[in-house]
Amino acid sequence: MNSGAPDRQIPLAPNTRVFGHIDRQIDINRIVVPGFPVSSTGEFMRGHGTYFRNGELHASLAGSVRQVNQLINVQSIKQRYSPEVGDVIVGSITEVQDKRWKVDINSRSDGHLLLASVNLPGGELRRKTVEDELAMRDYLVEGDFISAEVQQVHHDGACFLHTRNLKYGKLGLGLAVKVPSYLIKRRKAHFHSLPCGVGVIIGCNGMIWLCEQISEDVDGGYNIDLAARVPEETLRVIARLHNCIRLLANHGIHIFETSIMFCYDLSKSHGTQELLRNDLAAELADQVIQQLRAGMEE
Amino acid sequence: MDVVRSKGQRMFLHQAIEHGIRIDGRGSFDHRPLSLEQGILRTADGSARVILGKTELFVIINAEMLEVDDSSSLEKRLNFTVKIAPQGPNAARFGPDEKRRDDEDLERDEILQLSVGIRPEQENSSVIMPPSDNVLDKLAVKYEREISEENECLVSRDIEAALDKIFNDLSELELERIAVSKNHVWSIEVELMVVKYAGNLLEAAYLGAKAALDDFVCIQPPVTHDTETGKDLIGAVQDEDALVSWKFDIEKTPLIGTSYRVGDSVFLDPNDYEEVLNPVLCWVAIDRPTSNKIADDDCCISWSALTGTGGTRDGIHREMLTTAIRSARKWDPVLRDYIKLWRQTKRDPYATVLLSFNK
Repeated sequence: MNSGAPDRQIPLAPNTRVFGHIDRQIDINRIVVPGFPVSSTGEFMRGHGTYFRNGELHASLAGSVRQVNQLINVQSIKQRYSPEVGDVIVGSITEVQDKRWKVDINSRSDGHLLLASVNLPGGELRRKTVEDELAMRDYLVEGDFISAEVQQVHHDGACFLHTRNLKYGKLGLGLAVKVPSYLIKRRKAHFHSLPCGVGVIIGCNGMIWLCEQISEDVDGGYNIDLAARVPEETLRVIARLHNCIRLLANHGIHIFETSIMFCYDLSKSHGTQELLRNDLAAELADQVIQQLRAGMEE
Repeated sequence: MDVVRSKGQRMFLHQAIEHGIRIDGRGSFDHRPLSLEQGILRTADGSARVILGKTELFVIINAEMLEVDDSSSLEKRLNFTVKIAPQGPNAARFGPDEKRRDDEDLERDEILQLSVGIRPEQENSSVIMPPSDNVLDKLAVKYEREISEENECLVSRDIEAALDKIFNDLSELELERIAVSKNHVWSIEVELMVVKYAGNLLEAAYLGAKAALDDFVCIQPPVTHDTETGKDLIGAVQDEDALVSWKFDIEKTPLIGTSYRVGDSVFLDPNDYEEVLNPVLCWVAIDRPTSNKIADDDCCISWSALTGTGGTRDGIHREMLTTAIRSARKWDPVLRDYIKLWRQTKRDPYATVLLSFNK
């Protein structure tokens, strides 16, 4: 019971409609909107995101112009997540079907997780029996969160996942944060144990999982103790990280462990719930961008 | 997609609420940042916009003149409607669309069977027969659907009922002035449009309605009596200086606070994650206490209500009431500050307001 803390005044959010104004130093000339002419001569080939009109190429999407030799295409900034082989995914089970689960991965269609692609208790090389098929619900039910890797993507877009590695599997006590997927870069590692003491899984599909620690479970997360108590300090850190990730997402900053840690360290001077204020968030976002730029220039 | 669906996350949120260290860093009794604007839609007679954290809603008041036979016999009330935009977090909690399926409507002869007991194929209509099985099945399906719709968490209906109670029954607004003459009455429609539902809708709706009512200006047109028909007539306003307008005094509305309970923990202002845990809601209406030094317990409660599945025990109930009173008293100075701000800034009625929608 939080009876000791004095009542805080309800913060009045300043009347900023946009998430605060920051100067990103973006070259406006490189970004186009639909209808904008992209090439003046007719010698270029039409790529994705463009169309011909009156002998000129115009953009049909809002995005940046890319040119490869004679091919011009426009790459949109905001796109739906499309899975590629090797991506780490954090998703939730939507259906339990015959020998497979359907997983919501924030993409155009659900991913498939075959029974043959998971690690069940008893070791990795265990043969899947008929009892396993009937007991699928004992392992993963609708709504459960999992971390998995994309095994293959079919030509029709169907994506197959697997958890055949000790680090993947069912996720237990923790918090999922959904951010736009285009803010997540593909990196070497997506599982991080941050120096502040919590574990984070950055899924390429835009779902980020915050938990007490990253554990490698032989049983693939089968035996999760949901009654375990999370220590107070961890709750505090996860709350701050949650606000930091929201802040990064709202201001369009790429989310990876460096940017998260920069934001976390810079936010230490403010209370966690002050990060909910738009003006403070904009200031912090500005500082994070400058620090990232300084880091890149080194 | 509702982000919070797994048992692991729910347990995590429970623990966070229990410890008073919620997932956005707030304590149990902290609110999210509030943004309250008035007069944003110049095409409406009164309007307001509330953003409480991520919950966003517009309140629009329109007044229409109705001709009636006798305005003194009518109940003078404000009419509240709550509409929820079908996108945004937690939109799936608002029940199915109210489309009536045609095949469930009963035919005329089926209604006759049910009410009077006459079947169409009967020759002797004096013999009462029980309705046929087809008709009974159809009726059962219809009732089942209606019952299941009622039982679903139709939040909009709860909010409408609560606002109706607050502003019509519990406040001392001068609703009599709605009757312009013996034969004319203003019909005041308060429409709340929820753009994003991310928790704590009742408090946001209350604040928005109060702000919009403060913005709302009602006109009293000149009335003449036509002795031939015995009816009153409304005249057009010839001279702008002669325009008589009046506003509601929103000081006459009670202070409202809501508290929520999950398990054994009571807290204020759930966000979109915590809202999925289906907390039990308790709202109170209190009269404004005479001084700030009075303890929360020492207020005059004019109304309190509990909604949501799950009952409550005596100790917890008292805690919920006290917490709700605390919330109500926290809102009071905030709203006063906003009103002072609005009164000070002169608004150009023809300024176009740029409405931008947050993600």
